Amino acid sequence: MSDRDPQAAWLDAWTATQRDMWQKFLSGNATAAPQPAPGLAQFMQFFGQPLPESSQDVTRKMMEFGEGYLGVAREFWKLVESAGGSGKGDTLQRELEALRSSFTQGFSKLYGGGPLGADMLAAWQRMGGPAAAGAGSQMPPWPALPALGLTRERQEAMERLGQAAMRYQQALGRYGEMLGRVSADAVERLSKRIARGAQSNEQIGSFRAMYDLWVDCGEQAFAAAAHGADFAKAQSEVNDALMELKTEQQKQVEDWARSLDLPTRTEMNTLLKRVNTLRRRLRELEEEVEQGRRKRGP
Amino acid sequence: MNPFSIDSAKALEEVAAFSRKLADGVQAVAGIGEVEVGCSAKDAVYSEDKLTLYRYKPLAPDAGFAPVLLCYALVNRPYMVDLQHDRSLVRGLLERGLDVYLIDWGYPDGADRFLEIDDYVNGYLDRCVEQVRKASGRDAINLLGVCQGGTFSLCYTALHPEKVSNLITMVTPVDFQTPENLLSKWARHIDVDRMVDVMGNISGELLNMTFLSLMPFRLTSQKYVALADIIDDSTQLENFIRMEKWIFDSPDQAGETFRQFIKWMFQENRLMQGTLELGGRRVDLSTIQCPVFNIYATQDHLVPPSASMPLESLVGTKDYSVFAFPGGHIGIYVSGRARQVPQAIGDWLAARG
Repeated sequence: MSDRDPQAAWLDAWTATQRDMWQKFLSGNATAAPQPAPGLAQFMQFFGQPLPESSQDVTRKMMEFGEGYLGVAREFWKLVESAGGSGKGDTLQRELEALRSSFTQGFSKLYGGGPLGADMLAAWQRMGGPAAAGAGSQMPPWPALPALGLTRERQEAMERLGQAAMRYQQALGRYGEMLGRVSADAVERLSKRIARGAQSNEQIGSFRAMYDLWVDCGEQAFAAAAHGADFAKAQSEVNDALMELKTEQQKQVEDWARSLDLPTRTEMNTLLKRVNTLRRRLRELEEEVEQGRRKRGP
Repeated sequence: MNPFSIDSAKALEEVAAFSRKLADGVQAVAGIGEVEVGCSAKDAVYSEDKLTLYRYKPLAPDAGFAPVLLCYALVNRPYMVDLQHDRSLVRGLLERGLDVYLIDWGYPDGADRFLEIDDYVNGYLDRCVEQVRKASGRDAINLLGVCQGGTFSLCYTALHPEKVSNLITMVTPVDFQTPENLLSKWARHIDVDRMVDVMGNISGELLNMTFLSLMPFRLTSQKYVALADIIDDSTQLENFIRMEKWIFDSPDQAGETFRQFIKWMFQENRLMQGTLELGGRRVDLSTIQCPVFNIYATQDHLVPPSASMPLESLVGTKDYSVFAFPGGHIGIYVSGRARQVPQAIGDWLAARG
């Protein structure tokens, strides 16, 4: 029986599989394009040795972005293939348009909706927690009906919650659209850089060079948008809408807590403020005592 | 001409090499073990609430200067100034015979949500200065503020000028509304009152997300792909992991302090306008008469040079010096050129006795 480290053996096998898949893909014999390294992350999760805490996040990101990079390389190869044989004027432009379309689709798939959008929108969702997760599904059944009778306040609260959820969803949508435009601009810039390189005999010689070029274009596109007032407003609207949604949820939780005679956040805040005021007052008094002692001398 | 010079053989070679490096990288990272941060020996000499004041053990004969108190930002952890043996601002200062103290603000929790800037500047920072003054037997000490800690140090020196003999500010924002400052453009649109009212303390994760989204392609994607380039070098890999640990080790921000900082600094630019008040007293930077050494990083995307440089026109001192470090906000501590910084500080202090 071999005493080879099972983890190393698995990684060897994974690498060999990748090579085999890519060989078929590049020679045009593959029935399907190689997938971006399926299984590596799952393997580490289930069979890998426990990682030191400080390494866990790096490993996760390295695998995530490494797999993503291989997916990008696959898209790059399509560009390389489609550009093969082209070289002049209209033909090159046509190829670049095709590349542009391929990029947009490829990156959309890779990042799940847009190179920026997925990460940043997911972060907002995480920040929102349950409030954001449930947003949109909390619309009151009859938002336009006037609130009447014993349940009037409850109905109004639900309506406010529903309106806040709707505002948040709309804000998130507008922000996502803005990030989508950044992605489109990044692709546009990339196309131009490729065309310019071709015209000045500067060929792109590796996937990595292509990837770095994409990142440069992405950052330029992002900077162009992010410094504008529209971007800042769209971003702050997501934040403000989320805060409104959470405010409405907190009110409902507080109502519920009060009905069970449980402590509420509002009461906690009052107590914390009182403690802070007392601490400040105590320090002032201590200083006064100290000053008096100094005046009296030893 | 064809924009690409990649044939299938070359493509296969590149992809296979990358796959191999990715697989090797998984093993290499697993083999590195837990990384340690903070390399210099130190003693806790004072603590209060979440705060701890440390004094570093000397590495060279005493140069005879007043002690240096390092006031770090509330954002991220202060071990950045002493990350590892070959990348340590603290070590560089200790090797020049300086007596170095560091404020570690700790991790604020819900009980700290009503702490204000006044509590930090006129409270915690002042009591740390008192501790250092008492221990050293000196009336005034050298204060070194970093980033937001630099802003606090400016406020402190303006309000307590008799306790600071020399002021050093590193990557410190003063003018919060310059055109290059993307963070400021975003912060100015935020309804910070509602945000703090709802969230209480502001989470470190949210701040991190904001900082990373200033350069999203490079900071959230490219650097992990580029990790493949250094996967064979265990030292570089370890440095990378150590930096990652620091970047994502983000304390939450006390809500009221965050509210005041965003509103007063980013939205109202009070330090620049001379309208900031703390503890009922106006923070007038022109009252700073002690020597000031302002260090900024020329490629800083968080605190652009334009945010730091106006300090010269605001302070009252005639002894104002500046050091433009060729690098970024983090590179000033950890890049190959970072050794220039303690050298410059040491020389500047030595010239002032």
